[in-house]
Formats: sequence, structure tokens, C-alpha cells
Amino acid sequence: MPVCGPKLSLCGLIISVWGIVQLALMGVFYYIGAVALAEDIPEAEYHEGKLQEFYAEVDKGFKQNAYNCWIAALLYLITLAISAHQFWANNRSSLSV
Amino acid sequence: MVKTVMITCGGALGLLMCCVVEQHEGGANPTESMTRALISDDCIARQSTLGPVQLGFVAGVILRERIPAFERMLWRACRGNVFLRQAEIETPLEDPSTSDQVYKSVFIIFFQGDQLKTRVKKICEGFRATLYPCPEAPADRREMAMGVMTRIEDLNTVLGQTQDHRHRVLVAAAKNIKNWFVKVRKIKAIYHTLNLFNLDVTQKCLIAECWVPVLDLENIQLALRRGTERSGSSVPPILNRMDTIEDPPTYNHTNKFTSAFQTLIDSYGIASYREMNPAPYTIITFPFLFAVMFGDLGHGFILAAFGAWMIWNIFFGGRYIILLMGLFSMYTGLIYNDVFAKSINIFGSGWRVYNFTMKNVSELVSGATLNPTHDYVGFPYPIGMDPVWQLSKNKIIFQNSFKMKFSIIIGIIHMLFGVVMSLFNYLYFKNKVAHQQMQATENGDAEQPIHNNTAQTPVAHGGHDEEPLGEIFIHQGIHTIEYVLGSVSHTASYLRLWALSLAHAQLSEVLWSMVLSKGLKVDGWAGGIALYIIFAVWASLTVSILVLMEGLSAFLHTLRLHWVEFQSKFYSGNGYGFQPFSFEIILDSATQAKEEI
Repeated sequence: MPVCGPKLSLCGLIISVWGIVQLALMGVFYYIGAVALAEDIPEAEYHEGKLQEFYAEVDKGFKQNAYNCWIAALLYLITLAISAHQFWANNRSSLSV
Repeated sequence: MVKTVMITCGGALGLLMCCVVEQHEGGANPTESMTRALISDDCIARQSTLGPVQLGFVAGVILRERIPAFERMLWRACRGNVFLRQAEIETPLEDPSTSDQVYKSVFIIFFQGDQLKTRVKKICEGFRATLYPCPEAPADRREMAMGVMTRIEDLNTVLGQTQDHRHRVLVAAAKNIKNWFVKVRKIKAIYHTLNLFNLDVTQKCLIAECWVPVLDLENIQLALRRGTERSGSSVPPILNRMDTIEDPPTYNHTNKFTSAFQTLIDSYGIASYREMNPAPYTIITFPFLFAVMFGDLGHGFILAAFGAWMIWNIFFGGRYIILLMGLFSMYTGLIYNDVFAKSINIFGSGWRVYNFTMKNVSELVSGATLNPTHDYVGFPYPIGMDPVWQLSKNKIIFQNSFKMKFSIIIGIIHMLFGVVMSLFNYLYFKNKVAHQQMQATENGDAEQPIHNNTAQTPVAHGGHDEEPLGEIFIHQGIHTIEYVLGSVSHTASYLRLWALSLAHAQLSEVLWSMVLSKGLKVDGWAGGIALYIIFAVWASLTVSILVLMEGLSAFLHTLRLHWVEFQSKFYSGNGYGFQPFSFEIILDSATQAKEEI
């Protein structure tokens, strides 16, 4: 049974496809520690003389963000499934009318 | 519209008794008065032998509102010697001529003698009452009532069948009505065009003057021959090229790809006849200048995907423009090294940090400065901006000067190209003027009065020659100054390329750091869910602001650069379009007009 309208389900489809592609790629970039994304990790504080700890913290942030990106991508995969089902249900109901 | 009324009547001499159903005169026992005859049968028998004194009656229906006047009239005209009974008909009747619902009453009038009968009938006529024959004997009446009933039933079936048939016919016609409309419009257009033809002096053939593309002359000849064969005419049509002093209309052959670009040019002004058409060059320069302002690999990809989707799915004139704008934006995005405001490092940066130890890093206060002499690897990044700029503090300062200079270079190339085009225009039109002048002198010798107009044109051109030299200097001086000033201001106008591209890059960077970055900075596993929500917000803002709004703005600026800065160098656009007779155009405009109504 269609819950969302045809436009909302189409919107969900597009955003989830976009989200899956971009977030999965960003996850990979975080995983390999891309420098361009260094500004977009949870704050890591630098204490005088404790450089190793700072590096470890930054690495942890990179890994954490990689997983977070993949989690979000997974959530978008679910959204994609729901939207696709809704889209299909809408198409079917509009055809049968 | 036949109504039956039951009337029982004991016709009798002197006295009368009448009973209309559902109406009772006062009295103790109403039913008795209905059943009992006031005059016994022998009395009737006696009466019939007595002869002429006989009570007559007429019955009919009349509009309900006419009843009081009708009654009064009857009373006055017959001096109270008639007796009227009436009953209202409850159900409304339909007037067959106006199909209104009307209320009527049924009446019966008793009278004595023929004189009164004619008078009563006249009055009934005057009041537009409808009289119905009503036999005297009860058996006849019953029979008649039955007859009327069956007739009503018959008529109802006939009406039902007619209605069904009409419905079927209309349904069948509804399927064809569109085709009929198309046919009628086509025939109308043909006759309208035929009305524009002139009759020959011999009154035997029609003559039309029209513009045709020279390229299609053979096709037209063939079509005319085919038409002659099909119509079975014995007279072959004659197609003659004629000389005219009128300016021919401009006709540019387009296809589904080029037509949108031609439309962009034509909305500024349709080219004068045989003038250089900027549309072919616009196919490349338009998306390129747009992309300079819209340079972002990600945004360009969205635009290109949208354009590609439109090409597959919907018929929209500008779909190829959008696709090209998207593809070119992807290219400039690669050059600017911007994907949603982030750089990608495909080939490896051309900058390295050598001899940096842990000690050096911990001693850094606010970043390191890269020295070109020993931090540069010796060869540049293969395509576009080096990704290292993403991390630098002076990125904007560098890009500002880069984009500003770049836009001026592009602008000057673009305008120089326009000037080159003006050279071709000049060469062509100068030749044409010389040709016309020569023709005019020939005509002048032959003294053909018809070609007077041709002779006038070169006179106007020749007028320049008679201008005193000083005025020529002044005019040319003014033109030169205007041209130089115009070119300077136009060059400055190309700086919009720099401004818009910078604004676009900054806006997408702000959107990233203000929206998506917030989701990325959430610590722990909750970050995944936060990212899921924030990504949707960021994506919709990207589409609505960066792609749609910025795209529209870049489009308009590109259009301006083409219309004003580029085309002012060579394009006058003073022509008028070639409007061929086309069923497609006629039908399109007809459907559009219908939609507007």
C-alpha cells in the first residue's frame, strides 16, 4: 500500500542513490585518511609534546568517520528499498485506477 | 404529456352531478355522492326522448397560474352558465419546446347548448389550454384511458431507445472529434492560404508569390509535379524565380540539437538576411562560459545527469543545452579541482614536504610555508589546480588572481572572435552594396519604372560620399571613441566570470562547512544517524541553491555575455524569420490557444 505520494517516493529514491554513492565513497576516503577531509573529523586536541597521542586521536577520528559514513550509506540503502517499494506501489495503484 | 383524468358523470336534465376524483363537495357522506346517481335511470330515459336539451362538456389541461383568470373569464363570458371544476396535477410536466418544468391543472367545463360550446372553446383557446376529447360513456372512457396508457408506454420505450442511440452515436463521434478538428484546421489553413493567391488575367489559373529556400527548390518542383499528378490536372504548375527588392526572410536550418541554441540567438534578434549566424559558435561558447561560472565536478554531474534524463524522457527544447552545460561544468570543475568544494588528488600533488621531523611538527605554530625552490617536485599537477591548495591558507588569494586574469583572457578571445566575424559580415555586405549599385545604374539606363526602388537604395549610400571631409572625420572620431570605450567596458564585463565562479566556489564551501561538516564532526556512533539526516538537508540545499539558483544566475550572465558583449561586435539582428506554411505550427498554435481558453 502506498504511504508516500509519487513525488516524495521519487525524491527519496534520488536522495538515497546519491547518498549511497557519495557516503560510501567518503567512507573509503576517510578509511584511507584523505587529507582533504582532515577538517571534517571530530575535534582532536593537541597537547604540548604529546604528538603521538594527537596522531592516534586523529586516526581514530578518521576511522570513526569512515564507519559513520558507511552506517549512513546503509541507512540510505534501507531508504532506497522503502522508496523503491513505495514508488512501485504508487505506479501500480495509478495504473490500476 | 398526456394526462388522464377520471370523471364520472351522470348526465341529466336540469340537474348535474359531477365528481372529480379526490375532490368532494361538502356533505355528510362524500362517497355516497360519488356512487349514487342523482337522477334515476328512467329519468334519463325520459330525458333522451325529450330531445335537444343536452349537457355538454369539454375537458383539458391549463397552466396552473392561469386558472383564476380563466375561471373569471368563463364566468363573465358565459354569464355564469357554465360550470368549471378543476384539479391540480401534482407532478410537474416538461414543456417540450423550452424543456422547463411547468405545473398544470386539469379542468372540465359543463355547459348547455352549442352557442356556449363555441364560446367556451374560444376561451380555452385564448388561454392556451389544451383540450382532450373525452367520450361520454364510461366504458369508452376506460378504453381510452387504457389506450392512452399503452401509448405512453410505447412512447417511453421509443424515447429510451432514441436516447440510447443518440448516446452511442455521440460516443462514436467523440472518438473522432479530435481528428475532425485537425482536419478542419488543416482545410481552413489551406483555404486561407489559397485566398492569398491572385487570379491570373485569363482567370484560368492562380498565381502566388512566396519565399522558398533555394536549397529546397527541387523538392518543391517535385512536390508540385506530384500534386498535379494526383489531382489529375492537365496543366503543369510553373515555378518561377523572380527578382525582388524586398529583403528576404532569414531561414536557418536547425535540428533537435541546434534548434535550442538558435532560439537563444533569435530571442535577441533574428539575423539580417545572409548575416553571420552566431548560433554554431554559441553551441560551444555558451556551455563553456556557463561552466566557467559554475565550475564544480559534483554540481556539473547533477546538471548533466538531469540533462541526460531529459533527453531520454521528455521533450524539452533546452535539454541538450543543459546536458552540455553539465558536461562542461564537470570539465571546469576538474580544472578548478572542486567536487562539492573538496579537492581530489588523482595524480599526486606537485608539492612535497621534505626533511620534516616530529620535532619540526611539534614546533609549528600556524602551519608551514612551502618553498617553491625545494618543496616543489619539479613538474606540475597534470590537470587543473594542484590539490594542495585545498589545505592552504592563501587559496582564495591565489584563485582570485587566477580566475580574474583567466576571465579577462577568455573575454578578449571571445570579443576578438566577434570582431573577426564582423569582418566577414563587412566583406559580404560591401560586395552586395557594390553589386546593387551596378545593377541600379543598368536599370537607370534602361529606364524601367518598375525598378525605381532599387535605384533609390544606392543613392542613399552615395549620399555619404558627398559629405564634407571634416564631418567624416568627426563622425569617424566619435565612432572610434565609442568603440574603444565600449570595448573597455565590455572587457570589464567579462569579470563577471571571475566573480560568479568565485561566489559559486565559496558558496559551496560554506554549505559544506556549515551543514555537512556538522554531521561529520559528531563523535561516536551517533554520528552515523546524524550524518544520515544532515546529508539529506545538505543534498537538498545543494540542489536548490547551488544547482538551481546559481545555475539560473550563471545561465543569465552567460546569455548576457553572448547577447551584449559578443554579438554587439558583429550582429545586427534586424532580419525577420522565415515562416513556412506548416501544418505542425498551425496545429500547435491552435492547441495552445485552446489551452489558454
